[in-house]
Amino acid sequence: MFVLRLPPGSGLPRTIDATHALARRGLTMLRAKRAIERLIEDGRIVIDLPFVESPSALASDLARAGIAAAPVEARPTVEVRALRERLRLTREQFAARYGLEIETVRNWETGKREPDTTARSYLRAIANDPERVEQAYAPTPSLDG
Amino acid sequence: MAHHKSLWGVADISFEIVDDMSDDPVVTLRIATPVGSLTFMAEPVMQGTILRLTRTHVQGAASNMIGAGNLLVIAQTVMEGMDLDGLVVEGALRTTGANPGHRPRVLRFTRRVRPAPAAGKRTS
Repeated sequence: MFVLRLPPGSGLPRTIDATHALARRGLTMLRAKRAIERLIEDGRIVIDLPFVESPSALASDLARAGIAAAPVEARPTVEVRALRERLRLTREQFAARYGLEIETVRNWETGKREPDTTARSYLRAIANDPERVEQAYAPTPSLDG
Repeated sequence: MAHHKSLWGVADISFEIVDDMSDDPVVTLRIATPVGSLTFMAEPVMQGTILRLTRTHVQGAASNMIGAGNLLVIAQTVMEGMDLDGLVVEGALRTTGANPGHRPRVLRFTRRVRPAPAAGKRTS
């Protein structure tokens, strides 16, 4: 998996070269073209390429086309205990603050269970910005209360 | 650049369809012009003898040096080379330039019948 993005102020990328660079790595031409168009519209995409000879070669090809590429972990892991301890929270506090089951947090920390994809993404968001995630998760105050 | 404002002739232009070894409905045209190579990539739709190029991307050193007149010459060359009566070019979304986030206007070209060299004076 790679994240592609348009560097700020880089101007119009060489979309055709970029499309061919993705097609050479196993995407069909149409999928490669549409991926580059999504990149143009959104400024950033995450893409899975069937054949990548080396991440640096891909990054080099795309850099020549005006696009930044970097590999991303397909299954990002978050050390739940380390995260909780960094936030100076007990398991109970951590679970309550972010809407998790205490037992679930315990299972993740002891290795009894692995967070699924959604949970890993949520944990990563917490790790990246715990205050904002807490605010986002917090119940909306009742307007009539 | 000497060629910037001059109007080209059909003889100044040549083009090739790049074989990308794919059955996908995506076509890449490489066009040689007096100011350098231009590449078009689009999703083609044939409507009778009119070729509609949708979600078209253009790339090349000369892409901002062509002008409307020479774009017409390029279109005539492609229409003659592919025996088309019309060519419609719909651009893909822009990221930068005059209108980021907007699609450029649709360009429509109709093939002109060129008079034969010995046809003499036009009597329209």
